Amino acid sequence: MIRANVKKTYRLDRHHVVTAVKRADMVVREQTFTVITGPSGSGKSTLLAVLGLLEEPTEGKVLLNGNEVQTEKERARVRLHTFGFVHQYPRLHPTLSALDNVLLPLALMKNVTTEEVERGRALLEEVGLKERIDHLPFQMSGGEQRRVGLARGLMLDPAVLFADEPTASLDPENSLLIFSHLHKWFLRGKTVVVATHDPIGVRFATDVYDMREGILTKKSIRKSDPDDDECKDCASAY
Amino acid sequence: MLMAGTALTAFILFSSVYFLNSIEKSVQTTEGRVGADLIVTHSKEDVNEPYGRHVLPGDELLPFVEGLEGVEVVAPELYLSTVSTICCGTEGDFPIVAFDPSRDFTLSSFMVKSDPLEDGEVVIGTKAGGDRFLFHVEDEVIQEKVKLFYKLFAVKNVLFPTGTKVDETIYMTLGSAHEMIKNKVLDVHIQEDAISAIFVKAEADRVTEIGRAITRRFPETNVHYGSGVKKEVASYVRPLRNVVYALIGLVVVTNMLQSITLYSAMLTERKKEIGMYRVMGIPTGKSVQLILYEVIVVTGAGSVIGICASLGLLYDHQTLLYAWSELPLVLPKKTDLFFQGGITMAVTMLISLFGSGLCLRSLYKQKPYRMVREGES
Ligand SMILES: Nc1ncnc2c1ncn2[C@@H]1O[C@H](COP(=O)(O)OP(=O)(O)OP(=O)(O)O)[C@@H](O)[C@H]1O
Ligand SMILES: [Mg+2]
Repeated sequence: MIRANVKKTYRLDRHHVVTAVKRADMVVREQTFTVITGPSGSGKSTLLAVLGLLEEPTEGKVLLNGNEVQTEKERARVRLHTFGFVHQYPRLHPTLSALDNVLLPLALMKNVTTEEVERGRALLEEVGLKERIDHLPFQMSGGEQRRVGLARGLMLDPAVLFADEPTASLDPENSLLIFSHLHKWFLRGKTVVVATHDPIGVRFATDVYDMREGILTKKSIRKSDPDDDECKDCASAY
Repeated sequence: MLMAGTALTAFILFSSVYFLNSIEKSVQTTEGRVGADLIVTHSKEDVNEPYGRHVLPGDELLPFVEGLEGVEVVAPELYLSTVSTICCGTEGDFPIVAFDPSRDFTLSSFMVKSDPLEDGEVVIGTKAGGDRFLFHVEDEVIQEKVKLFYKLFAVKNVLFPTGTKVDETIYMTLGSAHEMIKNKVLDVHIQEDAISAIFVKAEADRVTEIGRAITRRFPETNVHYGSGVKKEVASYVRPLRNVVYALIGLVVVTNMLQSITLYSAMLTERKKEIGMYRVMGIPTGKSVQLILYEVIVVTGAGSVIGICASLGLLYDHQTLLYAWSELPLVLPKKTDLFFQGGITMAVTMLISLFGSGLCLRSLYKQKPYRMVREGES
């Protein structure tokens, strides 16, 4: 469980301070699908970075199961073992195949076993890239690369998966695909936190938050339902 | 791009090192040759080409000179005859000179191989057919034989070009010569103890004293002082050497700068990818390892390409190099080349590692979130 009550400002120079997150008070319970919506520049990415222990809040605290994670080293360890990250841009290694990209984080830490290679394959198959396993990033479309990034994020088996705009600049079909993968992860008992302005995302959510000019408000707690075509919470999302 | 850059560096670096080494060696050998502090010949002979019939009495002269204070080495040479023959595919008139391998300090520095010459074997100059074997003596010369005075000699070794009469000469051991004199197989009559010239290495401040002592005792001799020539050669070569050193320095510095720019370009391109690994919580050391590993692979390949290109070019144009430098260039041996290649590679890779290390350091000073975020909108 992640509990946060934070404010985050960025100092540009001596006289200018940008407040990215004015006030955010939220709880991410275990095994939930949290969606944070809001217009561009409202502070969603910043909040996600603070929740994901990438950025330290200017004020307030982020508590992980009731504890504050003090040092950067510990935060890195939590990010490695407990958190997973999926970004708008997957940032793949340019000269490694899809499979190798998925395995790379693991390979950097230890010797990869054959079971792990198989798991990497399975993950890529699961995101619909069975045919692309040996392809290099430049041989894949943006949506395919994004799914490789997703598989890479899942490879380390994170308990909490953070996804920042995972569907930005994707067509509705691909967006739905990404969200259903995230949803699958949630159904497996993991926690998913997504920042998006894609209205489709709200259908999958259990917890919906909205961000406006740095202020986070809780919209609803609902039942995750991907087939909810007339999702009333979705309308207000961006 | 990176690979090409490294290849170029390695190319220039290797060429310079190669060249420098050649020059260095040439200086050494030239100094060795004219390194004789005294050259003693018959006064009716040309010091540089004592290939006439006037000889000195070796029996008396050698022990006398050896006995003089300050004398370090005395190397005798005996001109036998000039023969018209075909040696190693080259036809011509070749002076045949005998020398004492155990005492020699002038010729040996020019020899391509270092093993000592035995009786019954000869060393040939480049213009006596040696040029054909210059760069693959190891495997071919041994099988070559030359007939001199009705006797077969094995061509054992080749002399690097010197630009002097030495190049046309065929050298055998004094032992072989004495045996032939004894058996009267030569076409001329030579006394058994005859000597055409002696090369003397001596303490610098005693040279003139020694020379005077020799001429006083043997009025028929002519003493030539070599140290002047030595200095001259050195003064001629030193500036050239300095130029090459400066060139190497320049190459290293420019390359350092170039590689830093290259790496910062490459790493900026991959900054977000690296940032991603950091976001994922992978320890800094591990991702640095990944990048450095890649740098090593790329620059390793690059420098090998560069070295090979340089080697190919230099190897093919050795004669051009000779012509251009007008120096008795002594080219490095295989093992030296290997060594130089290794050094060049090490230097190139060190430069690359330094360059990339510098860029990585500045990159890792940033926070991971900043790294993935920058430039995103
Ligand atoms: N490192 C930074 N330095 C200065 N200002 C920053 C920094 N990071 C974020 N900001 C500012 O904070 C505000 C919120 O940015 P953030 O990226 O969190 O918004 P967002 O909701 O994710 O927007 P989008 O939907 O476009 O991704 C923006 O005004 C941005 O300019
Ligand atoms: Mg954002």
